[in-house]
Amino acid sequence: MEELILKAQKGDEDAFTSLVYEIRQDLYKIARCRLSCEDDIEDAIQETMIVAFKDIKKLKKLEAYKKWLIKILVNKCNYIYKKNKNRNVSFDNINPESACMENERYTELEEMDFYRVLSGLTYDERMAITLFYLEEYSLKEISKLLKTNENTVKTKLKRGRNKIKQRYIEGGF
Amino acid sequence: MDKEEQIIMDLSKDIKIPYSYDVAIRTALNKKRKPNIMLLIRNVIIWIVSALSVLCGSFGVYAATGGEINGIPAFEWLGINFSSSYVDYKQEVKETTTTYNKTSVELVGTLASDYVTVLEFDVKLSEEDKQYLRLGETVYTEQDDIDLEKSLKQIEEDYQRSLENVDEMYSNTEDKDAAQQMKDDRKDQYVLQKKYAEERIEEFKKYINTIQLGFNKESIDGEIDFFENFPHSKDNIILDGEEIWCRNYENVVKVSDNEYKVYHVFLLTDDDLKGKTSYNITLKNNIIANNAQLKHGEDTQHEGFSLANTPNNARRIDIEGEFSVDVSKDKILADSNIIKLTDKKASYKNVTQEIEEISINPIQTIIRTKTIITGVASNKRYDYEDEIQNPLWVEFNITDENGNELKASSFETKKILTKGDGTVEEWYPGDIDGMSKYSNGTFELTEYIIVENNNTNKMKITTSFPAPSKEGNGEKYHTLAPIEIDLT
Repeated sequence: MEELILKAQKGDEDAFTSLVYEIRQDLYKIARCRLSCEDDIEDAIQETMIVAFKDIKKLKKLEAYKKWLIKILVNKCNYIYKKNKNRNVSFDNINPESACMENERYTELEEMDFYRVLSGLTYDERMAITLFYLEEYSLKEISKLLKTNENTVKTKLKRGRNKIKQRYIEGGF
Repeated sequence: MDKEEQIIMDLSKDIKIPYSYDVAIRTALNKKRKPNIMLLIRNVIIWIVSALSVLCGSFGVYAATGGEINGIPAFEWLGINFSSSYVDYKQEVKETTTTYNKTSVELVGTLASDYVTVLEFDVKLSEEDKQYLRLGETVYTEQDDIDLEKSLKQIEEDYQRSLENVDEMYSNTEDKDAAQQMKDDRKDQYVLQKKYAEERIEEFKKYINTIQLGFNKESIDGEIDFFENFPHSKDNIILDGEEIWCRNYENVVKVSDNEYKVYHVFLLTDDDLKGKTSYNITLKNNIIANNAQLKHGEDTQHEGFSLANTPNNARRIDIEGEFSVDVSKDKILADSNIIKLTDKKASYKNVTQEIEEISINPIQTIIRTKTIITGVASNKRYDYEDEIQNPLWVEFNITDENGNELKASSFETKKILTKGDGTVEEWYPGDIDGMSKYSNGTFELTEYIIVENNNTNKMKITTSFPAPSKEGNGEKYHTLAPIEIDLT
């Protein structure tokens, strides 16, 4: 990973693309927390890559690469969400028939644990849970990214966990 | 397994990702980037963006439109016709300096008015220096062909390496379609790069060498190879003994094969002059350099870009001695009407603009404006939709009493950011400090607008802030209500 970052910092586009490709699953999930429209997710990832590639030279802590990229992605997703609010439906209402996903097959949606874990949670709860458990962010880092304080993040995590727990108890999984 | 571990495990499971998402990643860096710009720069060809140079003012603009002299600089500079009153107000001076080889540069006149100071030079080149500067020849050299061969070889090597990278990237996957897609993208890029490299030579042949004057070379530091070709880009004037940077432009008119008339225009603000109306300008460590100019009737294939020079073509000659000249605005000020305003404002969302002063002089009209932009934050730098956050530049539309547009050119001369915590940063005019972090800040912009000489009794000034659209395919404009001013 470090070698790829150094190459990317020297302007190697393929190295940078490989870096993003390696973590595409995580980036997709984070984008999914905010956006439901595939077109918007693809725009978000592309915008993120363009900005990140331009600025990667400035990245000093190579180990922070992924978090740095996620930060850019979250901001891009928020921007796109704000702009296209009407077509980004609630996370719980992701509909395989919706127009912007007509080319994609979502017949396996019900089997996807990521979606089921996070269904019924608010955006902040989804992000807090995803960043905390999947990306191993600290409370402080989440609070910075979501532009809120640590206590609020704690509350979001707690509520999110309780909702998920309730579903486990109910045998939802 | 406890619930938390189960959550982690469930969240970590791969989910189905659409193929189009993969494609989006693979093509992101190709999709929205203009493909040719970096390539053009890559081969160390020096171009200037004419529009940008007006905005940033870092480079001289060299144009020899017009051509009729008869004592009047009948050039259109920055889109404004210079007033024929120039001859009435020009101060004659006689100060000659001579280089070796019998080339001479003579400062023959000055004109100082509000914001605009013009120095007029006669340049006579010896035959030897004319040949050395390659004047009258195209900027193309035989070395460019040799360099082209090297470039093509490098492009080929880069392309082959990129294909190997793709193979390596997809070595552990079965997704052959994706690998092929990426290879196809690389091939498209490779073909484009080759095309531009080959076309570049033809582009050079469209440009012919003329001259430029450069001043105060000793104060130029930094990337010397770059500044070699832009001698006006750093501290470029010694004003009453103090080296300062100011916007400056140059207009070159060819008189004969060996003779040129050069009008060098310095744009000096009230702050630069510290309120003085008479001042001394010193120019030392000066040079004559060659400079690319598009041949009459030719069109560059790169719209908005002008070739300034190439490494294989660039030549310069040092001028011995220095110029020191006293100039005064007093004569023009005596014939000027200066209107100071306090209540001419327009507001729009988080922007308030005020017209502070209008100076109507025999050469042109100068408008000074101040724009205050509140509530700016670095993390909203790219939020263009709802408010002004990133005032890269401001556009003005000036009309006369009959609604006809007046030719005008505007220059940001000061950009001050006061951050929410009270700290103050002064940015280079026309520049945005992308590294600065701030919230709840306030920008204060000072702009000078030069309006072509006119006889209107009323003026309407409409201001717009272009906001590059997110898609990068045009501008969205935030426009303030027009401000009307009675000039009588």
